[in-house]
Amino acid sequence: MKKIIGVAVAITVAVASVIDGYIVFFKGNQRHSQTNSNSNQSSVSTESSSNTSSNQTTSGKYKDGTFTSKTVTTPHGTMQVSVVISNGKITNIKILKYPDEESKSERINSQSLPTYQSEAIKAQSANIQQISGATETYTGFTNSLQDALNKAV
Amino acid sequence: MTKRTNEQFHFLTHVVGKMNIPFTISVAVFEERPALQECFQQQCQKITADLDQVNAVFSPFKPDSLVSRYAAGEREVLLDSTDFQEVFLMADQANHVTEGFFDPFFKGQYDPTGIVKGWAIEKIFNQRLRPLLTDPLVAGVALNGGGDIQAAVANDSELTWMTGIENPRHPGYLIGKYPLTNAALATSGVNKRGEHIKRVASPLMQVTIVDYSLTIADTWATAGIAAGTKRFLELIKKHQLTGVLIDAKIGEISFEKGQVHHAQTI
Repeated sequence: MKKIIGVAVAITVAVASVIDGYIVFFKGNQRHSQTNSNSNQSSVSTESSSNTSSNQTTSGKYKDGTFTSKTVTTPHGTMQVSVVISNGKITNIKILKYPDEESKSERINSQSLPTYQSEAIKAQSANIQQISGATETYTGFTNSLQDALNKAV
Repeated sequence: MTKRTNEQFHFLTHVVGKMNIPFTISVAVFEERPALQECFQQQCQKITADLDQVNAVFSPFKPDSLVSRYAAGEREVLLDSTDFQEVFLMADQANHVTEGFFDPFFKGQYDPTGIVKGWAIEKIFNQRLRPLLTDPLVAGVALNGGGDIQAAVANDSELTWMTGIENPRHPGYLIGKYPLTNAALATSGVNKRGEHIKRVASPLMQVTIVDYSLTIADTWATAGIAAGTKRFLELIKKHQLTGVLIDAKIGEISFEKGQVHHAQTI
């Protein structure tokens, strides 16, 4: 199986809420917790790349069992997708979410975003490097504001 | 130390057209050197290949893309690509966080297009452009895909990526600007991405969101257009958003960490 990062370890997945996130247990075998999620991430990837599925193989491309993706750290938090394959078809998709190590409010307090400067001006008259809102499509790009700026610098 | 203005930097710029979106790759340098120019061209080639890969996996117009196959009922493609898994997870979270206003299933089938562009730009930026900042001659880097921008500057470079926000009523004119250093900015409009957004009726014309992550900024700009002015102002407060919106009736409303600063007619 190509890039699939899966571990066939469990039939049941219990999701328990801890503070603002979740702890995941696979068949009583605790794989993730708030304090050691980093080490578990690597163990999941290692196991999964060797594909430890022990369930019976069906005629389809995909083996039966429960497959869990590697953990993905996104701006929304750390997550995994877990799918159950039965007779070569996905019968269940679960999304597993883990507590953020750094809460959003901490990020907001520790850094500052730029302040808006309201100013009705023509683009070329200002010291502007980037344009937002102007050009969505490449078709209309020539002679757009961004195109003009690119040629000016 | 005398303060440099942006005129004192040299800008290397290259445009790639992919998925009918113009992607502008920008690197600001203290001095122009042939080695830098060569490095810049190499990164531009890699970014072009990255964008082709994104299109191959996520295009809703290619019948053999993973998104198309998933939408056609082939759920098993979830196992085939870590990028697909990542976007799948983020689209789900974006739907949850925006209270349903960002909805990858609004057409009745999975179409994460609304989140793919911001996600792809942020990811490619972090992989191909941010590392260039370790070169002492590089002052800043930015990737702008059709008005969605992720930017960064070197420590103490004094560079700002001054970003103009277009006036939706007067093409060629700006309503204002943001001095970006290490941040992302996304704008969504009624005319721009209508096909990816379900909307409630509202005079809301355009939403710009500033965040550290372009994935987040793009998600909220898209959700804002879908929510309409009244409902979005509640979400702005609740989620401490920063940006500016244009409402056809009220005018321009800017907000910083959830606080509405002013509204003026345009």
